[in-house]
Amino acid sequence: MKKLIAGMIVFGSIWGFLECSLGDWLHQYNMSALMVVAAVFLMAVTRRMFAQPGMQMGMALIAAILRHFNPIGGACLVCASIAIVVQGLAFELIWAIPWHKYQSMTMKASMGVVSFYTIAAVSYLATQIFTPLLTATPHLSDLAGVMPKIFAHAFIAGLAGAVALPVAHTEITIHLNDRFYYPVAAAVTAVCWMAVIAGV
Amino acid sequence: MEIAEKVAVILAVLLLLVGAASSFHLQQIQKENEPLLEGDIITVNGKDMSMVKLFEACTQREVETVKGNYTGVPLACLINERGVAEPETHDYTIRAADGYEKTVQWDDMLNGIITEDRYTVFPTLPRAYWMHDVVEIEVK
Repeated sequence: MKKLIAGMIVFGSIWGFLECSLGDWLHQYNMSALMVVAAVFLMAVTRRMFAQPGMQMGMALIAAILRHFNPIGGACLVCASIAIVVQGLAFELIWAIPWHKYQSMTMKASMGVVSFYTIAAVSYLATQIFTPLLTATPHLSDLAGVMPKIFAHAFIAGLAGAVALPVAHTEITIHLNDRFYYPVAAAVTAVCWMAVIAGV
Repeated sequence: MEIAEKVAVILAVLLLLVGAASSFHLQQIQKENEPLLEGDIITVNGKDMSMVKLFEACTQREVETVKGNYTGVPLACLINERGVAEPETHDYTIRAADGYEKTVQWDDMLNGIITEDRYTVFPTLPRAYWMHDVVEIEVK
């Protein structure tokens, strides 16, 4: 359990750090879909490694906290935090469906498309609904104009997912001795948080 | 191939088709809006207005934001130039060249600016409301 919590904190911090650095950079070039790909890939890898439902939701909450308190500002902080939490939630829901028992490449590639596409679309949609609800006046009519952009954004994530999920499910085992596991986890977490606070 | 696998494949193909169609649709919208961008025109309440003339008519203002300072003309000035009666009673839908749109209120229009390169900046609203390549403001 201790190992799981340490894993959740360290991978959540890595995710948050990537959102604050790579995510902001990709946003400038209208390529935020690639950040979603990186996030879902990280969740898929950690789910395979730890095999613990709920862990990725915890990672998402840690990443969202880190993203929300990013002192540099960057992209819409409220939207990004909402998107991260929704990505974690959507991942948990999709991974609760028993598709894992099918180990064929067809299933992995298809579920790669379905999961990456759905998570990208749902998280984008959630930002468009919840950001106005929390910060301004919501207008449902705005959603109609945004829907094609949401699906186009999810299309890129879906295509990448066809490759990323089979890669994430590749059996690679790294054994780290307990003596090193916790110090390494603590050091990586500290570096991620300090980098975000310092505005790297 | 088992039924579950077939379902997954069909679902994946359907989602990709929707995504591809949406990407194509966005490209078409962008093509339609190209004359506005190239002609330096913005449509306000259904009427085309020259960006150059707007920048001559309105006094530019610098706004301070978490992302730095931006200079442009107040969005409220565009509405006033268009002669919209009782502007505080309307909502305003701001539309970008790629079809992205957000609706704001008069208070936001008073605080917000549009820069020369058509970027709307709202210091009091989240960045989801800041838009590149704005081509239209619809008065509702």
